[in-house]
Amino acid sequence: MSWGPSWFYYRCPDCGKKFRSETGLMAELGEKFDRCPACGARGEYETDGPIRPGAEEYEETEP
Amino acid sequence: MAKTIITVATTGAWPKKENNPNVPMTPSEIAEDVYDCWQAGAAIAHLHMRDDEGNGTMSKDKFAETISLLRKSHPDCDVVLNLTTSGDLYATDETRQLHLKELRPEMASYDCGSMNWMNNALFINSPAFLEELGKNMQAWGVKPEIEAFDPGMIANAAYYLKKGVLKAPLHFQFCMGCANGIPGSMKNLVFMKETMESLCPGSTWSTFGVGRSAMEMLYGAVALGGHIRVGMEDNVLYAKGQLASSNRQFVERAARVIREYGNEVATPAEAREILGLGK
Repeated sequence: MSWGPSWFYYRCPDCGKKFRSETGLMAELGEKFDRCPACGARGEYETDGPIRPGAEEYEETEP
Repeated sequence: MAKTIITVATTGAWPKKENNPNVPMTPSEIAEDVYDCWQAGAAIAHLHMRDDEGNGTMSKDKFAETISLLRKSHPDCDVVLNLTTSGDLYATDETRQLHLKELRPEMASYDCGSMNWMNNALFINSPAFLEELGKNMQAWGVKPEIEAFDPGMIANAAYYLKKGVLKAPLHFQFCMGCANGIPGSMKNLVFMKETMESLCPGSTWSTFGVGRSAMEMLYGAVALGGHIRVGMEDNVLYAKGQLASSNRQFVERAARVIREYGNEVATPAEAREILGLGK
């Protein structure tokens, strides 16, 4: 049994951007994992879990 | 020419239609999906069942209905069936095995250790359960597919091999990139393979990666001489931002990679030979 990929969902406190980072990419993403891809501020954690309806509103962080 | 086995994991225990409307959920949907994937090159089908609300279930009746539909509707389909023993986190040790006793599939999963499930539940495979399951699978002629989510689970398999609970040659499924398991990278895949070779020499192995690691594990499996599992149990996205249109889509991609590399896609008969099924 697997449980598929999971993501951390964030919202940027400075610019409001929503973004998500794949849990399995912590090593590859490093400090980018919880940083806003638009302005670099540290994101505020919202939730974590699998892909879900509305996930497309969150930009996926790139390694 | 080397043969690479494709396993399709069509459904799993977690994704629902809201995650991807193309996930097969009912016995009829799963049976048709397996047939479709077999036609595309899958030699093994790893099956999970869902209850009428779409939640994971170990109902032997659902397994029986699905297999019956597959066999009756498609008697030409010789796919190897591999049934989960971990389709519901709240199932009992008894219900996790009852379908094996009654249906006698050629293969079934054997999760070789306990861990946290998605940071919100326990995935328990107690020593007592693993000992009982291993012995029962030998008695019932069901080949264990040893799911290893980290190297410690390979060491645990070696323990049960020495104890006689498991019988060589073993077949592993390296589960890469699952939350709380080993991350899915090439370096880690090589480490899993080498750990297996040192502790359980002569074993065969397959792997899958969830999320972004899926493609890396696909190429890695082919290049390192392993086998590959694909399907919506592990990934509802086919590529970044693109929901999979079907499980067949994954199987076809795996078959393309295998052939481009210079290997052949193993038929079910060849998979049986490679894995020593029925011996």
